[in-house]
Amino acid sequence: MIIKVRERTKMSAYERLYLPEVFRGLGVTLKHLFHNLFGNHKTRPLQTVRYPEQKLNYPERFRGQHRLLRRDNGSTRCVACYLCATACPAYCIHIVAGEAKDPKIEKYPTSFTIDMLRCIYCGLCVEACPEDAIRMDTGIHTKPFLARSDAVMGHLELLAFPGQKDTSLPYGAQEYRVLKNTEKI
Amino acid sequence: MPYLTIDGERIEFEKGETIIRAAERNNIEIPYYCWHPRLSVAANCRMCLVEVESCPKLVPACQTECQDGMIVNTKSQKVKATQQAVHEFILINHPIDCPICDQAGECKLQDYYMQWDKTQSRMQDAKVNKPRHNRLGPYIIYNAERCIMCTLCVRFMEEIAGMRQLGIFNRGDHSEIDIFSGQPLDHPYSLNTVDICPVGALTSTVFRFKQRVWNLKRSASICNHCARGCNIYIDQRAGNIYRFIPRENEAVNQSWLCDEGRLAYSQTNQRLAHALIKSSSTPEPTVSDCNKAKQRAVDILAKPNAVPPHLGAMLSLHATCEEAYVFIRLLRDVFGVTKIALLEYNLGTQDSFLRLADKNPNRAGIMIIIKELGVTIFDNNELLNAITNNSIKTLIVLGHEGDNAEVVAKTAAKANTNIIHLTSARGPLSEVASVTLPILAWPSLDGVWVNADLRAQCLTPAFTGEGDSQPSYNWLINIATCLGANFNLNSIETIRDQITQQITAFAKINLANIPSVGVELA
Ligand code: SF4
Ligand code: SF4
Ligand code: SF4
Ligand code: SF4
Ligand code: FES
Repeated sequence: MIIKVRERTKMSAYERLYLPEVFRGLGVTLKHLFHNLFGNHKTRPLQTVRYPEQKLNYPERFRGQHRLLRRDNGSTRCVACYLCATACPAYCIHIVAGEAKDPKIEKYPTSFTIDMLRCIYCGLCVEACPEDAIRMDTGIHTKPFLARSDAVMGHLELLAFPGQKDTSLPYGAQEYRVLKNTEKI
Repeated sequence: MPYLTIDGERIEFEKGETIIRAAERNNIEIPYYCWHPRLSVAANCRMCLVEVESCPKLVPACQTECQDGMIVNTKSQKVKATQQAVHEFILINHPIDCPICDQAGECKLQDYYMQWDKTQSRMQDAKVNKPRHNRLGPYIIYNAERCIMCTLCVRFMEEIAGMRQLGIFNRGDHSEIDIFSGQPLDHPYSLNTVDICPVGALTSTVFRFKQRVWNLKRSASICNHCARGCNIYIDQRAGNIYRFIPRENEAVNQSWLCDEGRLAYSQTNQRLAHALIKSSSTPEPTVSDCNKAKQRAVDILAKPNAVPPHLGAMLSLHATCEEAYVFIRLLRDVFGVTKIALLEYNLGTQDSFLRLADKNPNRAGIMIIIKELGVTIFDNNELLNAITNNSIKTLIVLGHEGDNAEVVAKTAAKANTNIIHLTSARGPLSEVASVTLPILAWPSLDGVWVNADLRAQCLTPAFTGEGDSQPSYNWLINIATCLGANFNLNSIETIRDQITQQITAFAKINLANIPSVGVELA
């Protein structure tokens, strides 16, 4: 066990009076309030963005929404190994595995959902995936939802997200519209 | 007594004991793939090689008998190098299929690799491709690429099942396990090969891809499929049972389980969570509030025609001894019923190994209780006649398990008999019952079953019951109290005390603390 010994700081008589300090704190709060209400747009400490008319640039390492990737032949790369679901600290990935028709592939997810309302965007699922089947490289926001059930994304939806510009092409997510129309899994 | 030294520990042994057994007895870990304590020794995987002093080469611990004064070293540099080499050899052609392999999470190859090897493969050539999806029989799929040719499955079929349905075909790194043409692996004990396969080469068509093993929770229990009472582990997740695995018990099932019993798990997954009631206005059973349903049962039993001989009782042979005891006591002491009918399965297949024709797991236990509590058995035909000629107007049934449930249900429906059904799943009887009360299914129960050899074995709850389900004795005691009876059995401990006091066969047994391998009734 670590024991940390801290010396008690002595308070001055003025501090010990208590009330003056309370009013000083209130003063700080009020100062911020007025600055934000009437201050100059550039200097005011609280920056609000009038989204969606006005957008911020994200840092380069912003990951954004997950996507699932496909093999060259259009089938999903995911082999339903449950490693992402196992690694996920928010328990938001749910997989049901099934027997694939192709005996070389054997296993594929008959259902793969991520509950976006529970997801904390930590990226551990991406780290865990042995197949490079799940990535967080779309750089797009998860859209807002009106119902809880809308926040649960299925694998067709996840397969339909395009990746960011520079991510490598071979995994085929970019042709998503064609594939989505043919509903190839 | 002769002794040998393993890793500096002095171990005494009986003549003929092998090094691996002596080490196991003393909790010294020697890794192995092809050895099984109940099968002959093949010594072909070379995983168990150990160093014996004054012996020029390493020796397989699974095959070498202990000698007096032998000095064995299982942790030396030489042994470690060999274990690494063995893995490098096995992994030459083994695919890293773990993400799709059902064995991942309980794979010896994975575990040992992490424990003893952890080196890169130096292999440059392409792996040998073999069939990955070879259906050997109704329940078994074989992946030749993952097979490490330990021959455990072949030896199991030959030595335990007694039927040579498997063999090794081809040579060298092209060898495969396969069936002889036209003779599928359909032996009634075939799924044991999946259990003993140390890797994911043999997978069960039933369990395949259903769940990853690390998500499953395991608890000890007893198979409910026949009167043998094989010891099992229940693997479940969130109250859904995914498989039964044999649990070792020398006196009952050794380390094996029949396919039939193993596959019976799925029936237990359909459980009743809510009470059902049925009346003339609602011809179909409808879900009801459990208090209302209980009150309905009490009302039915309080009617003047719900007394013997107009009150009948039926008890499933799947009930635990505790459940049966409370049921019989209630009927005998509160209602004065002295004749009880049995809900039972017809005789099934039998063989000379594990399977018994009697498919009712607790027949022996219930028979003892029935006899000692002084009630008699209502013959099935007698019961049907009594229902038909309306001499039985109310029937109280515990359990749904039995082949005669259907005919009783039909007869009762025709005769307009009031049925009160306590059950863990819907069945033919709950479709015609006036009231159905949900009880805990056997995997959720704390209770005792007695098998055909009069061995009392305990069930341990694997998960809690859903919805309004309760142990049947809670319902029964509750109903009795509502009827004004002073039925002083308010906890499982009191019930057990009473059983040990009243039933002489159980007198010497501590029902609350039966060892995991069970105890024989005197
Ligand atoms: S980003 Fe994190 S929380 Fe979200 S699904 Fe992946 S592992 Fe779970
Ligand atoms: S996305 Fe990756 S980690 Fe998740 S189940 Fe599929 S293959 Fe496994
Ligand atoms: S048997 Fe299966 S889990 Fe074990 S190492 Fe091979 S592929 Fe992986
Ligand atoms: S199938 Fe399994 S048990 Fe049979 S030889 Fe291969 S690895 Fe051994
Ligand atoms: S376990 Fe001894 S050689 Fe395989």
